[in-house]
Amino acid sequence: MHAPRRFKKAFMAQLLLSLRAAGQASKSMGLRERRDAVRLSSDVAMALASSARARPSAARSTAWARALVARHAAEQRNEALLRRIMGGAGYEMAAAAAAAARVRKEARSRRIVRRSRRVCSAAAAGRKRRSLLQLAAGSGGGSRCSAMVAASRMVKARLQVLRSLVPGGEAMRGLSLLTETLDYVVCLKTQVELLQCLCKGSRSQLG
Amino acid sequence: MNCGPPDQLPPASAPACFLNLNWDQSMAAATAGDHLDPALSSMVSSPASNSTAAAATDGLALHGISPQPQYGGTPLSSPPKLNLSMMGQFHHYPPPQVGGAAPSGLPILENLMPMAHLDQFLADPGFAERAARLSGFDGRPGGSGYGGAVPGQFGLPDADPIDALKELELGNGRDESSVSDPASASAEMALKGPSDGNAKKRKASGKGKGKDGPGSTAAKDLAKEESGGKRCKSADESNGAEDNSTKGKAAQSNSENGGKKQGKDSTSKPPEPPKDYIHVRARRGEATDSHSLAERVRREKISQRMKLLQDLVPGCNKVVGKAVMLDEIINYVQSLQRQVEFLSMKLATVNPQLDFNNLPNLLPKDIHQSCGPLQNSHFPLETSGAPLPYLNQPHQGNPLGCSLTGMDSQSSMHPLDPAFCRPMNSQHPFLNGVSDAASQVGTFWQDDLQSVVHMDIGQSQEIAPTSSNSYNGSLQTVHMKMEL
Repeated sequence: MHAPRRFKKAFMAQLLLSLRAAGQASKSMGLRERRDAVRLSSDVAMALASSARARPSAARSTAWARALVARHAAEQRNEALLRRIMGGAGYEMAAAAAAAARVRKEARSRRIVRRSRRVCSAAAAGRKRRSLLQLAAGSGGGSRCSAMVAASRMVKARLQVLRSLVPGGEAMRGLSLLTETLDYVVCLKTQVELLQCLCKGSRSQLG
Repeated sequence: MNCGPPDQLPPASAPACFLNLNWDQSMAAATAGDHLDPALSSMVSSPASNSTAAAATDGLALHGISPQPQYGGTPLSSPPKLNLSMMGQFHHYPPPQVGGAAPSGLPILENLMPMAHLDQFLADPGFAERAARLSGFDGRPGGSGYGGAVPGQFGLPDADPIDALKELELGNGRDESSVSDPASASAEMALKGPSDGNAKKRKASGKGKGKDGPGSTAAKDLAKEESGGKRCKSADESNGAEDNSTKGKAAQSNSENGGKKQGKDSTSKPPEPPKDYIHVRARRGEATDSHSLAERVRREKISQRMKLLQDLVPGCNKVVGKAVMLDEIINYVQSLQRQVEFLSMKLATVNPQLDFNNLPNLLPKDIHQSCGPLQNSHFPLETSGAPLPYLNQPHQGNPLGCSLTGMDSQSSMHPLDPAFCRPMNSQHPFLNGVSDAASQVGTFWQDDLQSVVHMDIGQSQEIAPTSSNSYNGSLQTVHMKMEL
């Protein structure tokens, strides 16, 4: 599955726009900031292009695009650049999404802490019973069962890694995660391709 | 669009269509993987929606599970307007597709209407008789009256009808269920209650097909008599029943579907689009409650996604196993992300102004065009300021650094990238100072360079080493630190 040429063109246009915006700001930047600006603008361009592509067919999911922009918007220093790239309203939306994500994360961690506290308090009482249960489970399952458990654990661990790689993937389960990954990988591929183009072009421009 | 009554169809096309159904079913498992282009797969993700295409893909995927659902028909007691609408749908098909003459190009959409076909023909007395004549088609490949094209189609699915038959014989009405499971089950019971002939007939025809050959026709005739006697609500219905008797599966799915319509039917829309529920069946020995069925559907979709990802990720084709495949995917995504990071670094270095106005046309073919005299204004800065950090590396070998190679060696910098970027980050303030200094020097030198700019590109490359040589000392100290 390759990205269609139309999408590539739209992506490239968006990329050039946002890079120009970054270039206006980058006059006083050091190398590293400039790199971050390039990264940010290419990411935002990817997100915008992919959500623009997704508009005709609603079935395509672009949660990762929103999450990507929100992730960038969560950092304060990106504000000026993002405002310039996406416009004021777009930035407000992204920042709101980032804030919402932060709130969700806080709530989640609070919940985790609460639960773990409850578990800790209950642990003293229930330890014996639980160990018995584990024993029963261990003895009940044969080798086949343990293999199954190991396999599913491996898959789960990898899915966890994948979840951390795909932006916005933390909130997803298996199916939607895979769908998002599909879309994200296609877009990443295109991004790499276009950036390579730009690099080559710049180099040939240099001589 | 020909909306005439179906018995005006040429007699050849009707059985062919029937055949086509069967062929379709048997190919479903094969096509499930192949025909899933991205668009369709994205539609698969939509829940059982109204869109017929989504229904088609879902149907396709699910038919891989068990072949039977294709024989579903609309209820016998369905209103005539339903038949008309389905007729319309049926006649949408261009003749070659209906005929199934092109085995490879069988459209997925064909799956949309199997029920329509069936029902269409069920409602048609003339067809019922024809079908009765030809009804041995299931068990005997290349049956009596089919003509030349048919055996070819039939030879293909050989294994699958046998499966279907087995399933018919063994698990008739017990093992299968659909997503709207309780409804159909109760409906079946309800149908069984009033007319026992239905069940008997089903059994008989099933047996007949299992034996395949002349015995089946006998059983069919018997069943025809039975059902013809018992069920005559209307002419259409009795004809349908006759046809049912010729085809056990048809009978069964008819009763099921009828039941679905009669009973509470939550998933499917009322009359017009008869397929928007997901039709899934359990194989023998599988759980049939709706939860596990939904789980099965989900798993099916997941495996489709995995297949797509497998196509997408290079080197993933050979890999077997979900965990390993996920490993590959993770590696690929990580490498892509790293590549993006590296490329943005490179871009920031190569083109510090981030000014791409001068690049003529950035689509891949046009990249290598040289940019001509446009670059006057930016050129000095870029040569002196930007590539310096990268030029460090070739300077390692020869500090005087003929950076004609240095410029070109940027492509060979890829492997060095991770090793290069990390110390870069740690040494950030220092390097920053250097690059700033470099740009300052660049602006300082700009006047000198302006005179040189009018030279050719190849010559002007030599500016870089000269400019970098001047603060070579500081660069080398940086470099020493970076090598740590």
